[in-house]
Amino acid sequence: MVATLLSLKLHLAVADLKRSTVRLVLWIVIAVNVLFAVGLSLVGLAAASLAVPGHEAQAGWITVVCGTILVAGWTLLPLIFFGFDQTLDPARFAPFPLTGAKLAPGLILAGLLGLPGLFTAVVCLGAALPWLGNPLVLAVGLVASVLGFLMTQVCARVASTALSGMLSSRKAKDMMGVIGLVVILVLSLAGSGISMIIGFLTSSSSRLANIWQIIEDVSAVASWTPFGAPWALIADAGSGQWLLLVAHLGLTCAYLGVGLWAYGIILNHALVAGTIARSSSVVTKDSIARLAGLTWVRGKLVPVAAIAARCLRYWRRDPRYLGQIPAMLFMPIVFCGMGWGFQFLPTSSPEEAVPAILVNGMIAFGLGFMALMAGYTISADIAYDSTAWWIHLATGVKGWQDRLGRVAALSMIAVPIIIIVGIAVPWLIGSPSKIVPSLAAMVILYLSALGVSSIASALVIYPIALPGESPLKMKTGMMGSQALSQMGSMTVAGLLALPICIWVIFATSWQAWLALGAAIVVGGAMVVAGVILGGKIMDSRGPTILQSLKKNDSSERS
Amino acid sequence: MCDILSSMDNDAPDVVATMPDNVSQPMISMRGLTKFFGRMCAVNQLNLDIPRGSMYGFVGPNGAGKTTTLSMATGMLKPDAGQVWVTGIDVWQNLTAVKARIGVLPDRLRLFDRLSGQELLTYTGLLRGMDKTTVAQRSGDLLTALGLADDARKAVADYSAGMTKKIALACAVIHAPDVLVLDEPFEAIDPVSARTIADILGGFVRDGGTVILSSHVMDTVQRLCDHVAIIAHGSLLAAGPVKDVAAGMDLESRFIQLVGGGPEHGELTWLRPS
Repeated sequence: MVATLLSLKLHLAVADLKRSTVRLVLWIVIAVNVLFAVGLSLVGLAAASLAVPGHEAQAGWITVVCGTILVAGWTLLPLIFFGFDQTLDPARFAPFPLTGAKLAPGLILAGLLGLPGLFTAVVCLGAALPWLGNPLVLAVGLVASVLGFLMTQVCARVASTALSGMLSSRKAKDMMGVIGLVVILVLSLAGSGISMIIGFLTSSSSRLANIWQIIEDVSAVASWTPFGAPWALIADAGSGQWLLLVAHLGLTCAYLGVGLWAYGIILNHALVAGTIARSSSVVTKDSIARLAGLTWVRGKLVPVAAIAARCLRYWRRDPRYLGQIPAMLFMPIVFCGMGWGFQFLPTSSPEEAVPAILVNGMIAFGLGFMALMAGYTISADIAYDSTAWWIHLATGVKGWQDRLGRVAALSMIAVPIIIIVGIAVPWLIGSPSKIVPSLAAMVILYLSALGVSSIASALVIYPIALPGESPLKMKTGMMGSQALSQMGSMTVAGLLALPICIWVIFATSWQAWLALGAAIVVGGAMVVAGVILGGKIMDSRGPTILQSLKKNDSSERS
Repeated sequence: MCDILSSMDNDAPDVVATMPDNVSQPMISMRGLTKFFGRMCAVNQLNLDIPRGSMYGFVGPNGAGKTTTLSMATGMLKPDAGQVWVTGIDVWQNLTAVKARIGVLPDRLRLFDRLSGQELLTYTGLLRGMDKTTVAQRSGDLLTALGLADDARKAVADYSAGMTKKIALACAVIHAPDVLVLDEPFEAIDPVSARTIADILGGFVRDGGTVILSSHVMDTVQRLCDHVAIIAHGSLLAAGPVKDVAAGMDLESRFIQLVGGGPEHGELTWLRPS
């Protein structure tokens, strides 16, 4: 059974790569890059530990901590990226007379044949590398890394299969997508916070000793958990604590055994519970009729209002749309946080202080980038519609109506955010005189990005998370075409907005008001131009757009 | 439905490649329609006339080119060669005018399924530029007629396959088009709903409307349609009144005769309960 499942996974992987040369090339490029990065860090690790004899204990602690993070990552990742690697979805084995216990080992080992599994295996083997000089510890290290790798796969399978059983309804899946986004945002913020703390702690030797104490404590606790137990073998061997090693080995095997047994049981449930539970959410009011029903909405504006109402409905109901808000806020938070934090760096003399221009520059960059991102958001809209967009094509909606409806809906959400952030940030850092200039710059950047994206998104349809999928789901081929479209349109939008942005930097206070007015007028003109031009392109490219949407849809569903 | 069947027998359309004239103008005319996907020829030099007021069945094996042909006729897929006219208007020259006259039910395309059934109908009506009161009234009528009134406020994502098909059909008819182009309207539909849809379509045709529908089920086509076209590998094999095409056989046997049965299969001597 193990061999059958492994060869099935291998065939599927190869068939997937064969489907398009672009995919194959992309895969190889990513593989080479990651291998290079992993290899480099492993060599660094080995070199570091060989160069510092007498630090075996420290090396052991670090191995345990890093290993724990690796296994915990494999356990948590499927919770965030649900639907992550469903090539061998247990539900697909439901028609066959198989038990969970029979399937479990094969499904766990099949993880080795995927890209993430392969890299993890390499990283795991690397854990033994620092001990090249000590054959006995090296041997223990190799065994430990195999056990550690198995642990990552067992934890990942148990977590993802148990979760997919719980997330059978659409609503639960939507919730999970939003939770995943929040987790990522929090983690990224925590990441920058932690690096600041580490920077602070390492700035003197007494604080450095503290860090080692913390790492030792963490590794001591982690070594008894399923995440850290396999890696503790290396630490024990390194420091010659053989009795402890036997205990950790026994514990690791026990954890693996329990995990395998639990996975078998969960699989048995997954094999039976193939049916999808239906949750039904009731919409209280016809939101489309409500917005389009406004009396001033007449004639050719009726479809525009309908499209805007539909987009707003999706902002509320589709986690993929909500997921764009963290993406919008991410850059300003990081950059403004860093700029703001600079002021508090300990300095011995005033000359060492970070220059004000750098602080202001980082904050300005954060705000401007946010406005640009907000305007760019619209370029994912048609891709999010997926093939449901046919209804725009079949009903003969004009391209400009499609474009304008989306611009209106996004602006109802993004403009308040921009105004709030544009006022709050300068006010919070204690320079309220910068409110008008920063608003002017943000307005022109937002509007020019909106105009450019209205054209670009009628030209380039890139693969993106399909309706009902996690907003975090990555698509093969997404990175390439999306990055290209994003870099292209954001560069053009930035250049178009540049004159007013430069003016704002040197503007006196009354000139700043003038610049704000100019930003609204010029930016407005750019949006009008984008809507008309993008609409024209859409009118002539309609059938081609539908074909691309169909292609992106079916390549995932087959 | 039988009375429609017999009444339509007389006006057999000619499938010869003549340009449609304006006197006995067919509802839809296709001439030399051709579409390639890469090197694969999906539709090859297709000529077909759909008479006004007919219920026209469009049948063929999987991958025969049915969906491709219907997409080209409705302005959703640009042909590589050939022309289509709807009521004498060249589709690809006057997309907006033609789209206003046809109602489309595509197969295997998504709907805006986060909207409720009611919202999706309103959306479609408003996109068509209809006025708001008419949209509200007709969507209410349609939801009741199709038995969706109780689920009107549920998200379409939570609908069953049959309900989804019905709401898509409601979207296709809300602007009271001259012609309905329906791709697999009876797929995944339960017998009760199928009867409802058949009755609605029958009434539409009786009042002078034209319906073209694709299907896999010969029985349905034979029962509902007055005309039928059989397509395989992108080429038209036969077209005309059902009786003429069937040539004295039942439609299914005739279809298999024309399309060609599967490859000769040996006896599965072991296939019996053990």
